[in-house]
Amino acid sequence: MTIKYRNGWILFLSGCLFILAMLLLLSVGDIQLSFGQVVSTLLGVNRDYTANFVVWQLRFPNLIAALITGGALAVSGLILQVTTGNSLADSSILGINAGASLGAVVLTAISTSMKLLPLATLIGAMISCLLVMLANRHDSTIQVLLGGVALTAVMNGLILILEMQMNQFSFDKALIWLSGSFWNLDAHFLSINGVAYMILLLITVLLAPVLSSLTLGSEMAMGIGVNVRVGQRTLLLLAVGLATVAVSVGGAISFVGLMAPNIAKRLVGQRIRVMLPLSWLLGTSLMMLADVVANNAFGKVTLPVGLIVAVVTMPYFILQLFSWQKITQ
Amino acid sequence: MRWWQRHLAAILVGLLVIVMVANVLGGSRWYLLSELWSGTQTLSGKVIWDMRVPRMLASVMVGALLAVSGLLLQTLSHNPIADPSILGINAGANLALIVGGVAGLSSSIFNTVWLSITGAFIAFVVVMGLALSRQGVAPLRLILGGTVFSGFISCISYAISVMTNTTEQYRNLLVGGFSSSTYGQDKLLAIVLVIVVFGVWRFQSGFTLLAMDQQTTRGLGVSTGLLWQVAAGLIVLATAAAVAVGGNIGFVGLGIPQLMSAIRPGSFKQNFGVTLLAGGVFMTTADLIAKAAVPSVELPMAALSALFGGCLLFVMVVFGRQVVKV
Repeated sequence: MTIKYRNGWILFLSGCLFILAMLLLLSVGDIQLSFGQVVSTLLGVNRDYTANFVVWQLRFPNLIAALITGGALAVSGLILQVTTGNSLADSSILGINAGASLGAVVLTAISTSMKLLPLATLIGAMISCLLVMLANRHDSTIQVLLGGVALTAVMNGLILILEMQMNQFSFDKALIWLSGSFWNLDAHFLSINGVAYMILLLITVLLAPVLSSLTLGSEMAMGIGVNVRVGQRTLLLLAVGLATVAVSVGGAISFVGLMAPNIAKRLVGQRIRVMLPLSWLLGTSLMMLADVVANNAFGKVTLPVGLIVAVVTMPYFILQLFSWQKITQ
Repeated sequence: MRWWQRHLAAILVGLLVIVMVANVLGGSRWYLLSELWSGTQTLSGKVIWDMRVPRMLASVMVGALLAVSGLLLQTLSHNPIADPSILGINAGANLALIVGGVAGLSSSIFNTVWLSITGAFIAFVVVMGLALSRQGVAPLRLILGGTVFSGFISCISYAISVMTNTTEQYRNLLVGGFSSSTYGQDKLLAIVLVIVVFGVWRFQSGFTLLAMDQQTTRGLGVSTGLLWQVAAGLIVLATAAAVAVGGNIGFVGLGIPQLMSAIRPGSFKQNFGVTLLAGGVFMTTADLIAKAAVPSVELPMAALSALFGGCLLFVMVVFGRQVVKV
């Protein structure tokens, strides 16, 4: 079997997974719909009022939120892993998610309007990214990750203090920014973030050749005529931007950006042209399935989606750490 | 050696007395020093002796216990960046407490203690198991794996408390603090503190030698296996008691031993006493800040300690070249 053929199959299968996850998300719930009903509703041929209402009003926002957060986190994780040359990098362990969350919490503390939310989260994410890059100056993988861990602890502490100041009794709100949940499913809010997300994804696709050259290592990339410095900086900004969008929509969801690209890499190797769409598919599928589980698996209780994601991705990180250490030794 | 290095212990004792008094007097309402002697009949006397004094005692002892367990953990793992909270031991104790609460166990002192000891012990074993490799404890795995494991356990705790409608309890554990400390809890802490201090004192020479590399330790005829078990037992006991009373307070075990060895570099034996004292001073001060900094609002203790410890850890990672040896 040639590699091209094999990669095609893998992409096709993950595409199937993606569609299956999407159908599950739209059909499972308090009001059960069949896959057929969902498909016909999506195509606009179903005249049933309930089905239309459930699909478009109740579940579609969740779908969009899952697509935004899962895709953005996965792609941003992929970019971070390639540009820092660190297969364990991810916007959550580097503290970028926590920074963005802190930005959002500070904004809610000083003003009642949420119009500036994208700006606030972006500033927070930029600050923590800069700080983490400070830890990168010794060029040691471990120091960067530990720096990120320390930064996350500080930012989470600040988030907790601020949230407790603002509302002593609604502790759950603080947890959105600590562990992640789809907190705002308003159509207007989602569409603004969706547009930003599409633009950032488009830029990523345009920059895919640069990303691809960086997988060879910065010296090789320089050798084939890529401006490594500018490329790395632009890509890093892009990764921060994507993480910011994801945090605005879903709070600090952990390690999707670690898991999706790493699985993709294991399946198809370091080929950005295949890895990029595959990571996106896996990230979004993971998010959608997590949403299905969070909303339905525990009876009447709805869990924050971030929790479900964390319970899956964190053991994966530990596993990855385990095997990664073995290779380097 | 400067004078303040030589008299570090005396200075710390002095500081401890000052902050202890300040902690009792301070709060949403400040009392005068003279009111300490006004007896237990008046209202202010009641507040002081029934609420503030037990709270102060709890904070002193929790600080001391956490600092000591951090020092032990750092010695044991040959790694300056080690802390019970980073390694998930706090989170393990937390999870056990929440599970116990859900299972309907009353939150008597006895129950909280054995629950948190069980949780802390399991977490400790898991984290050490993850970190062990053929070359002994791998520092990187220990810290990173431990942190993420800790986050994982916290998520499970939260999920359980959401499902069973007991987020209030989770919140109290996560936020930490001493606002509801009683003399009963103080008694428990005192017993644990005595056990830990006695254990460390009994094996102090061994622990001091354990800080050297493994071959030297073996060569000197130290039975590392026994020492490991004793140290692990003491760490789990100290952390579990601290979590049972104070909730999830992290980073004290990281910061205080580091601070002490920066002020006065020395062996385990030399630094044990001052670490104990400094832990008490730190926690009591932090508690005072938590209850008095913003009027009528209690700042979350866990967040305060994370702020302090996280900054310290970050500085250590960024500026300390030799901090992490792979």
